[in-house]
Amino acid sequence: MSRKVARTILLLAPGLILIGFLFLFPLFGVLKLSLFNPGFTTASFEKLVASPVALLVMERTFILALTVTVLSVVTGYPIAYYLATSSPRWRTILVYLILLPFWTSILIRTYTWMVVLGREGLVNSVLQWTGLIDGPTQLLFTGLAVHLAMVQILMPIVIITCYSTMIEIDEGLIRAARTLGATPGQAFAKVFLPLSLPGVATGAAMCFILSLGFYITPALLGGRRNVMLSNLIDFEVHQTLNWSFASVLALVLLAATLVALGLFRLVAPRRRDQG
Amino acid sequence: MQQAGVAGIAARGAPVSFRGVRKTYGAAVALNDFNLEIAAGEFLTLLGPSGSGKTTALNVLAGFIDPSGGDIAIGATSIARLPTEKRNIGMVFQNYSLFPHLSVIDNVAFPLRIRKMPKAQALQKAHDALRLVRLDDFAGRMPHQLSGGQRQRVAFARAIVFEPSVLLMDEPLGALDLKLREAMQLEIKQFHRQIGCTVLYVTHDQGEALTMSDRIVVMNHGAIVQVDAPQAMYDRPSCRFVAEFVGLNNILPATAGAGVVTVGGTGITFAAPPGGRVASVALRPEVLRRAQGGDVSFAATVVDGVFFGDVVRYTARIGAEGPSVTFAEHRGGALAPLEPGAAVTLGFSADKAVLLPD
Repeated sequence: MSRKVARTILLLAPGLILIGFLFLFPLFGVLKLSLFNPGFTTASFEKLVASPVALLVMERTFILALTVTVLSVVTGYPIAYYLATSSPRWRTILVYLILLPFWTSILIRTYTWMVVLGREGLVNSVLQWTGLIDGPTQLLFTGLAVHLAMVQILMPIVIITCYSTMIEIDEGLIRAARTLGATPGQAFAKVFLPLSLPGVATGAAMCFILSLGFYITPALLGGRRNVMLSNLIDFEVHQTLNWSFASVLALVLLAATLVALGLFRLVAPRRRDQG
Repeated sequence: MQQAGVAGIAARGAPVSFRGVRKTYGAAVALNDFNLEIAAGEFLTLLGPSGSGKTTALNVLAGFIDPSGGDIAIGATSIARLPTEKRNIGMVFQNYSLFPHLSVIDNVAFPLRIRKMPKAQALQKAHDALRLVRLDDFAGRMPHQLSGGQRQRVAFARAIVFEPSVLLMDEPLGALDLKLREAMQLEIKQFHRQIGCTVLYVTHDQGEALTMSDRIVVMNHGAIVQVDAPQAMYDRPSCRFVAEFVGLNNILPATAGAGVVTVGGTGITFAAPPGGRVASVALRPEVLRRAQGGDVSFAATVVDGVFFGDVVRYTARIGAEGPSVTFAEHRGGALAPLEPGAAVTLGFSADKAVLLPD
């Protein structure tokens, strides 16, 4: 028994030390910054509640994260379904095609969107060439640009988590549903969809949490009208040098992430044995 | 052919006919000119080794495979163009295929709810079906909480609750252990008598086929080899393949001429009515008897004896250099057990020997 305990501690030690020094310790510093200046004060928390800008940015960040998550699931699910139901050889190629952009740096992908959406960019050029618009239209530095890029960046996560759940679903169950009188649509709605929901929930949770903390993409594609919580924290750290307020904002982001994670765990259907 | 259903489940069995059904994959022939008439309420088994086409025939009837040619009818209606869900076929799969996200009762009520039956009525009927398979107490469980045999009974209840005219069973007992398999064979047979639907049963287990079926269809290489009732199939195999596949058999090379059959390499001869070509003779182990003989007898030397509990199965060499045969003896009879090397006189009645054309 004690050997087992020693073994567990030994195996977990590197990870625990890493998290302790690089996450918990700084986090404690952030907490201290937000509440001591230098004596104990709740001034920064009061400022948060009183600041219309901070509240607006928080609201915008949550709505963006939610929208991006919904869009990623709605577009990613059919792709995952197509993957899961295509032939194994074709499937391998498609998985690589999906993972290839996923392995590319977010910064590079964001710059690519600047090239595509800019005044002289691909979309404007094509629209003008076809005569649909007369002059270049504003695409960059809009909410649309942020949404487009974030969905493109995060969708692979949703696709892969959904796909990994879908390929576990026994094809025989769909056949069984058909013999029991279900049309292909009913078999999908009553058997396949419910069995794939754990994958959807996992993908959505990851997508939502990553969206909450998105920094580069809103900064480069969103312009001043699309400042998100991470950008605001950066602003408070680098421009106003109000580290205490920045710490409060960071704690809000962390708390929101934990709440979101908890909610998903509560709501998400559990994976079940295939019977 | 309606029968009184116990617990409120009674299906009107319908006749099924395959007419010249073919299925090819490129040059490979999975099913070749398959013709079969199944009577209403009959329990018919497709028996064959893997790749013999039995599962293809079943999947064509279920609508999972489009035939390359021919027609299939249930009753008077051709169903070749109907999608699976319109064929009113119940199916039991080898791996149960219970829906893991639904409870036992919801699994069984599934086909009824799909057919828009009101919930209360559907649940009532699902309970009836579960009572039939004696799993009413497990209605609230999830499939993963059941044993293999229980899952298969739930799958059975789900397949018959909507009273399909035809029930398809694809190696339904293949995943169960021997004892349970034997018990389930009897249960399925009993359920069939109670419900009265037509059953098309697929298995590679010849023992299962003999125990359960009204008629057996032996298949090989995508074609039907022989169709017969179990006893006729066992007693009168039409060819060497059936003789070897169904039950145990001693197959010895033989020639026939002028009403006399000669077994090659043994010097054994016996009279036989003139008929077609004879290339070999099949003798069941239980046809060969010690001492008391029959009308044909020969000398042999015991090579080995294998203990099976109720019987001992001996291998004996005919003459000095002849082929080996196996014969079985019940224990506890008047005869003393044989030791390897013992000389023994074996005999059989000529009318129990089956002459085979190949």
